[in-house]
Amino acid sequence: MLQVYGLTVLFAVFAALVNGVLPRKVRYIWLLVCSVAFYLWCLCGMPLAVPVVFNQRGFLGLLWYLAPAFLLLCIVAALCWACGFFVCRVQKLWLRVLILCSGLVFAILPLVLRTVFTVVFPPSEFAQPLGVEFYSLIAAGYIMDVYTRRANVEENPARFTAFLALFCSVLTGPVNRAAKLIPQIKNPPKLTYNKFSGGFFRMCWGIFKKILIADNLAVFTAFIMENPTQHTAPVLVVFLALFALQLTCTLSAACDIAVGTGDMLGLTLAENFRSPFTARSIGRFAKRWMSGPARVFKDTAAIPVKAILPKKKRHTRAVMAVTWFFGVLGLSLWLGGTAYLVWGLVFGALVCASIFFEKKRNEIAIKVPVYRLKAVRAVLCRLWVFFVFTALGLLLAPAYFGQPLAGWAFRLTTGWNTLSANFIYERFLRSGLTELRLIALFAAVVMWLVLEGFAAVKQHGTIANWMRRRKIFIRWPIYAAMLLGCVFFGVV
Amino acid sequence: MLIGVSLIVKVALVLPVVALIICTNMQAEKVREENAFLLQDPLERQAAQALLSGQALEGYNLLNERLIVQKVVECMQTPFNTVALGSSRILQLTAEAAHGGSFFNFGMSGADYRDIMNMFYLLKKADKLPQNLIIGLDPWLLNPSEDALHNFSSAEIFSEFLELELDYDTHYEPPPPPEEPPQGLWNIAGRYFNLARFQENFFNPPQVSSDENLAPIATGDLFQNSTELKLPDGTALYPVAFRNAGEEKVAQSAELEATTFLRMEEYYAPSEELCNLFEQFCMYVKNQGVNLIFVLMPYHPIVYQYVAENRREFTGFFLTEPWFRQFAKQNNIPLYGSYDPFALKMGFNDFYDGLHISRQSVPRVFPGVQMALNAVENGTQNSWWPQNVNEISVDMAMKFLEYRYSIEAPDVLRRLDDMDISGGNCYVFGRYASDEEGATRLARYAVDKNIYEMYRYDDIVGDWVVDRRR
Repeated sequence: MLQVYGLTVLFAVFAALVNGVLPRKVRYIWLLVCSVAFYLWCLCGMPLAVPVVFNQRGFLGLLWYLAPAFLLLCIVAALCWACGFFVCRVQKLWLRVLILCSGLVFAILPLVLRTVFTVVFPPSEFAQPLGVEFYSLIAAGYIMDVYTRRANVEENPARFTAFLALFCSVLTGPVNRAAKLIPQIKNPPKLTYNKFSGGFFRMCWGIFKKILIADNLAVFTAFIMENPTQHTAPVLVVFLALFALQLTCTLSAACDIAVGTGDMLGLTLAENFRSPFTARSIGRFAKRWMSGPARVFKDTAAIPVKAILPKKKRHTRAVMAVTWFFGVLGLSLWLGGTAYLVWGLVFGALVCASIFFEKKRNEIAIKVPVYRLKAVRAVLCRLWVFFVFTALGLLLAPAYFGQPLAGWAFRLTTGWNTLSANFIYERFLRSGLTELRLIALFAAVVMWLVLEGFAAVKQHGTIANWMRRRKIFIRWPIYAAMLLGCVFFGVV
Repeated sequence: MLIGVSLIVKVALVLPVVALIICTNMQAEKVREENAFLLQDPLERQAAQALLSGQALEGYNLLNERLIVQKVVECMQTPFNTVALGSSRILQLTAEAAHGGSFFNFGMSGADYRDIMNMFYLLKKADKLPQNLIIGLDPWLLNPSEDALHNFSSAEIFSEFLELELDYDTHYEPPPPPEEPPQGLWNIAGRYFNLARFQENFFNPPQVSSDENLAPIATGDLFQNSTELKLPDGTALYPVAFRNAGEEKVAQSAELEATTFLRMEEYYAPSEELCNLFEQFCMYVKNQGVNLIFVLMPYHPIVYQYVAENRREFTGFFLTEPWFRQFAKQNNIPLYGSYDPFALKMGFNDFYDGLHISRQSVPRVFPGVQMALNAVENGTQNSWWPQNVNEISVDMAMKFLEYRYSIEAPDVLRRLDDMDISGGNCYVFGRYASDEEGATRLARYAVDKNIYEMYRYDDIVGDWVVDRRR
């Protein structure tokens, strides 16, 4: 894995450096070329590698192998661009709605046709389309933004495709909105050294979090999830906390890598994942955790909801709560289809209630003395968010969270007499983590929490900004610690 | 400009880490390769190294001798001047007897034609060909029967030899070539810049495996050995009890071996295919610039006499030596010895058992490499061919009778006049023996000089009758 990340870093740096020296007017073409190359490289990695296919079938055979997936995505891009092109030129409402609906259908076509595609073009013979989840969402978001006139239509198909298939975000997100990103592609801002190096650091920071923290934690969580019934309550509680930590690291790392790459290219991408477990309510949690995809579904739901309401009532808290309910529901279906439907309904309802009753909740909170204390409130809110999210996930979304809580509930009440540091430590060692690796993991987690905490406290927005402002004798030891940590203890 | 310099400095600061990764992996791979070599057949490799360093091995008959001699080829630094190939029947040909400079006897128990050719091929592959090659020719080398083959002779190496060196079509598929070590900085970096391996190699570096002493090195007075030894010249030294068993025990052993004549069952004539193969092999050896010498080690007289008595069952055996002789004569290859012990004037005390001549008797069969090469130069390589190959000596005939009829002192065989019996010229002997009634009478025996047939005079029948063992 580390070598894959290494190659990705090299690719990103190369793309960014060339991007930096090209004239701004043609940079979008370079972005398109890089995105196509990156996509083909990823396509060819699964399930058959390029050399194997090339050796077996020759160049034409390789093209034949790649063609269906590539053509599908090209066709979707073309259709979505066309819908976006016409939706803002047509005046009649019914026609606009028709084009909007058609565009949304085209956008989610790869998602819907995925199973059919696998049958018609089996994986052993043809490459399967990758990244269709984000691809579809970005396309859908574009059509909606153009329909609601939040974004201008992009008349250049190449520029549109560069936006849609941007290599930083096509596979793992974030879901970029057209209003924010297309203007940057059209008129690229000046690329500064600070932005470039800040982006590079952020990308490396994401890799550091992924392979040193998340993947090492995964060793322990996988060990527990193999047979949870044989572990006592203290171990299970530690597991739940570490699993949340692992999830946070994984998702935020993906975001950091994508956003960091965007920064190197001079583009400011959407922040998909913004420390959700520091949120003080379920509603805010939902806005910070995978907010990009959720917002697309929220905005999709908002169109008919707002259409039937009078103008004055379109921006009320109730509307926001309801649209966020649909946003979370859509997110759950997008994540795992009908398997997560119940989770989506329950969590969506909680988010809806949280947003709707936020004002009332604050009024009640002021009246409870203990709750007035900032620190107490901070801890309690966060614990509540953590508990709700994790418990719901374990109960209702087992495939995403690994193992249903059923069977654990009883175990969480027993075995507390075994609680001791040694016992927990011994479990870590049994999972396969060595002592040195544990120390490195602990140090990395502390470093992560401290540095991102500093960045948040100092309100520089991101850790990259915070780092750029530090002196060299602070920055370089941190760089060295990250590099050596990944090299010696990163899970490869 | 400053940014560019800054970037270069930053990249350069990362290089030591990259170098550490590459160097760690390279070192670990080197140790692993060394271990792979050391750990591959460690006992046999150590045994080979012990032999090459002048040590003897004990309990040799229990070791995988084919693998050991292959390891000798792998481990030897320089080629030997003279090398002997063949079965255990050649394994008494020592360096002193060979007189051929540096010498190693690559003989193997029960070696068949594949073993002989395989060994030469392995020497060629290792670029360790000798100047002189002595082949101990056993009669089963031309026996086409599957029973003439040894279970452990390698068909794979043989197939490779036939395919690659003699242009036979054996459907041999060579193993994939070993991976070439990467050349060039970029290729080396690509191969060794592997972080998973780096972590493994850094925290658990492979250690060079220490050699335990696995090979059974013989110590003390080697010639008082109680087990079979392999001496540093490759020859086998049988246990002292076996070597000094005495004529009686040797004769008993020979009796037994005669009735189970090794690999000669259903052998009626030398196989044309094997004869052609043998010829091709000899031409191949000569084309490598190697001097070829043939040696035929004799059988124990009891064994030979038994085979001669039952020659109808062993026609192949009696056709083999003449073929070898003819071939050697046509191709100007010196040939020494004979399967016939009588031709070489060998006695019972020249053998360890029915098949194996004693160490001290070998020089009477083979005068040494130098003499053989001189003979070729002088065109007198035929001079050592024994004359009158088929005529038994009177002493040998007497010996046979004494053994057959258990005649011991004070009984003594007296020679009587030779006579013709059944068309063959025979030695005639007599001894005085008491019959059942206690009367003393003259018992007469005869031995055909040429076909070793034994006769006994039957007083009742009043004529000579053939007396054969069954």
